[in-house]
Amino acid sequence: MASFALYVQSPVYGCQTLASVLRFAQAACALKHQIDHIFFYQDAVLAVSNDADLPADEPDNAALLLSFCQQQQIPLLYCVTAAEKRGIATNSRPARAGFTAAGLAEFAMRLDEVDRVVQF
Amino acid sequence: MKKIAVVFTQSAFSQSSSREAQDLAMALAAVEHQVTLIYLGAAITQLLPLTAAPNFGVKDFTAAQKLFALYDIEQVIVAADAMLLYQLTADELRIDVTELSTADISALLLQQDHILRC
Repeated sequence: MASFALYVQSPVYGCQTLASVLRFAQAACALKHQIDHIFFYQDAVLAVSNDADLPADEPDNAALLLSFCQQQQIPLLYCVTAAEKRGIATNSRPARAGFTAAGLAEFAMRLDEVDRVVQF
Repeated sequence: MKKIAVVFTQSAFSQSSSREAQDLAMALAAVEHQVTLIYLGAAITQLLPLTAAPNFGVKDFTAAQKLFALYDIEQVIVAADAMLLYQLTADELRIDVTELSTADISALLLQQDHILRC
């Protein structure tokens, strides 16, 4: 059994990124590995936006990932500075409930405890 | 403490990823990880000293490279093939670097606990 950190930095809308993260997390948990946390940085912080208005035929992969992670108690962390720079997760536009603001230092410290980092 | 390589792949100001990658590298070093920075391809241009503050709507983050030593970032690697491609020499860059071949960079990556590619 290994412990993983999932590091997400790619764009998250109009592409497969979040679906891949979810599938990896599901497969890892099914094999009894541990996902220590998922960290969103760079353009991936757009996943925490609470007011994305997607077309009805577009899967809301952020919501699917959130639901899985809540069920498995996997912390979903995002870099608050990267989010603020993109005008999201501010007082007037709070992050989607379930995502936790964190700093780069927290991510850096958590890497001490994991066996592998998988980047998306 | 882990051995972590941060691999830079983008030029300095084409998007925010270069600045955020550098911030991440410094945060990793600040919590005592053993950090190696590897600049591939166009990313080597991040290390060119700017003679004037850029005036194109983004902040200059590159000056903070002078703090790498203070953060105990010991290894700053540039790809030798990129230096050749961009016709640069190590003394034109802002900080001291080590030029490595693709094969040597691959060997260095194998020694790491974690690799982050930005």
